[in-house]
Amino acid sequence: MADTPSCYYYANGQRVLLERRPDVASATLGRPARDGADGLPGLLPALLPAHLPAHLPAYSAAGAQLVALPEVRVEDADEAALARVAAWLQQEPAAGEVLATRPGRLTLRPGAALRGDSVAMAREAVERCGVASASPRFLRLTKKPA
Amino acid sequence: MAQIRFYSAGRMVSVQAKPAAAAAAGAPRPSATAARSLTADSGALQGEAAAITDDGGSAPVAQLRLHDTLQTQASRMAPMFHDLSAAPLVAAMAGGAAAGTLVFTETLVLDHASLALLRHLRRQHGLELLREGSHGKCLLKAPEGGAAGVAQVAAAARDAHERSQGRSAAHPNFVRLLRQPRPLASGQARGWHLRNDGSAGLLGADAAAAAAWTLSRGDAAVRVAVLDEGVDTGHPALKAGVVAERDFVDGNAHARPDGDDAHGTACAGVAVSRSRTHPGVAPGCSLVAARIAKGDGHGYWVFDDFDTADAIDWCWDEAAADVLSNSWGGGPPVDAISNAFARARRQGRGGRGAVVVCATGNENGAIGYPATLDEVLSVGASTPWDTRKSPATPDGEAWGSNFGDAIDLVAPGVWIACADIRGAAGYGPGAYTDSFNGTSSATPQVAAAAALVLSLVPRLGEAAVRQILQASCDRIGRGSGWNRQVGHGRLNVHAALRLALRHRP
Repeated sequence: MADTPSCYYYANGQRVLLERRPDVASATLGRPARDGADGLPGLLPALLPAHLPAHLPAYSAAGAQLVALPEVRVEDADEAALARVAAWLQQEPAAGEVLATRPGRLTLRPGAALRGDSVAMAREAVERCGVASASPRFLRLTKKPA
Repeated sequence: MAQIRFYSAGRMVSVQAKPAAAAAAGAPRPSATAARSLTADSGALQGEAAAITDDGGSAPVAQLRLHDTLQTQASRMAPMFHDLSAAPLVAAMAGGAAAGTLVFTETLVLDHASLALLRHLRRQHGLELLREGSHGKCLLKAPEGGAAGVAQVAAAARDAHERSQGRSAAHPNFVRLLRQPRPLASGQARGWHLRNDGSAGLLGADAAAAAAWTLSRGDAAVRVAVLDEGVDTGHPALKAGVVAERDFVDGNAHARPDGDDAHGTACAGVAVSRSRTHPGVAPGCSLVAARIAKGDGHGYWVFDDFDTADAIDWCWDEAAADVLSNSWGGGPPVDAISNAFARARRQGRGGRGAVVVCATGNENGAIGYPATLDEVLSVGASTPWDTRKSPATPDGEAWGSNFGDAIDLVAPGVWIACADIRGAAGYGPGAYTDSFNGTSSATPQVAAAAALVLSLVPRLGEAAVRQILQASCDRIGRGSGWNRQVGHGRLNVHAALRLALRHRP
C-alpha cells in the first residue's frame, strides 16, 4: 500500500511517515514463530496489553515492520497540555480513554472512532492538544544482526 | 651497504640500504600465500621517518625474489630504473618482514618546486624530468643507475630541501612491497581489538585497551548496562560482574536469552568479560543486563517500544547504570524511546548523566535510529587495517558499517573475540567465540571505554566523557578532523584515559 497523508505520527516534533501494511490478526500474537502471509513473523512478546482488538494496524518504515498496539504514551512536562488531552477524551469518549496517569505522562487507549489505531491517536494528541510528545506503542521487527 | 640520508617531515632520516641480490641469493621463491602488492610511492612521504628502520634489510629481502616481483610490473617499474634487471637497493620497513620492503628507485619526488629549483637540480645533479604529477608534483630521474643513482637522488633531495628551506618536499621515490591483505581466519588474531601486534592488519590498529589497563581495568562501582536480546548472566566470564538484571520481554526474574540468542552475551563480553583469554575492555566494571528483544527464529528481532523505553529508564534509574550500551536499532524514531535516553543523559548518575552509546548499523548505508539521536555516541566499525568496515575491506566479511552525519567514532568491529552463550547454539561451540562482528561489537568497546574513564574520574559529566572519547580518537581516513565515514576516528582507550586524567581534581 502506498503512503497516505494519514500514515504519520510525530517524533521530536517532526512527522514520521509510515507505509501502511495489511492488518495483523491479534489471535496470531504469541504463537510459535512462523512466516505470516503478510511477511510478519508470528512470534511476538508474551507481555501484551489486555483486550487486544481482533486486528491490529501494521506499518513499515526505515527498514522495520511495525505493529501498532492499542496504547499511546503522551509525555509533557506541562500538566496543562496533559489536561487538554484528558478533556478531549472526556468530550469524545469514542476517540479513546485514559488508561493511566502519572506526573508528566498519560497512557491512552484508542477507541472505535480512531479504529483502535494508536498511530492516529498519537497524531491527534499532538495536532489537537499540542502535547510535546505522543508515541504509538509499536511492536518493532528489525533484522537481527548476523 | 649504503647510508642513504634525506629529509622527511622536516627531519633528517638515515636509512641503511642493501643490494637486494646479495640477500636474495639462494632465497626460496615466494609461495602463493606470500603474495605481495607493489605500490610506487610517488606521493608525499609524510611520517615516513617513523616507518623506516635499519634492521639490515635481510629479513624481508630473503623472503623475496625481488627481481621477479619487479619484472611482473615491468612497464610501470622500468622508467624508474636505468636497468630493471640489475639488483636494486632495498631497506626493511619498521616491523621487519611482516611490514614490507622499500625498494630504492633512481628517481626523486619533488613537490611544489620552483622552476629555479628544477633548473638547479638539472644543472647541479643532472636530474631530468621523468613525469609530472598532479598538484605540483614531479618525478626526476638520476643520470646514473644502481647505487650511484640512488646516491645522486638522495644528495639532490637534501639539496632541494635545504635550498627551498623546507618549502619543497623532496625525497627518494620508493617502490613499496607490502603484504597483500587477506581475509582473516577465525582465531588468527584473537584479541586484535585490544592490542594489534600486526598479526592481523596493521600494527597498532586497535582500541589500545591493553595499554589502557596500565591505568585502569575498571572500578566495580561503575556499571555498564547492555540492552539487548538477553545476557547469559551465569556465564563464567560475566557472572561475577552482574549487579542487576531484568527481562522486559518475558517478565522473567533474570535476563537470560532464549535459544540461539547469543548477541547480548557477546556484547556484554566485549564490554566487561573477566575471562583471561577473552577479556572485555573494562573487565573490572560491573554489568547491568536488560533484555529488550527476542529473536523470532526467522532472522528478526522483536521489540516493544514501550518496554524498550521502560528498560532504558530502569537502567539509569533503578539499576544505576553509568553507561548504556545499545547494539540494536532500526525503524523510525519514537519519542517514548528518545525521551527515555534523554532522561538517562540528564538525570542518570545523580544528575551527572549516564553515557549513551549506540551502534550505527551494518547495512553500509545510512545510520539507523537510535544512533541518529543527538548527544548519544554513535559508533561505527573499523577493520584491522584502520579503515571503516565496508564490503570491500579484505577481511572476508560482506557487511559494511553505516555512516553519515551522526557518526561520532569507530571501534574495531571484525572478528572480535568475546564471551558466547554456552553450548552449541552460540556463535561457536564453546563458551567463547573469536568471530563476533559488526557495529554491535564496536559499540560495547566504546561503552566500556566510557566506563574506564568514569572509573578514573567519577565526577565527570556525560558530555565530558563523550568529548574525551571523541577528542582522543586516532585519526584515520582522509583529513585530520571529523568525517562522515569514521567520525572523529578510531577509539583509543589509552589516550582517552590519559586525557581523562587531566580532569582529575
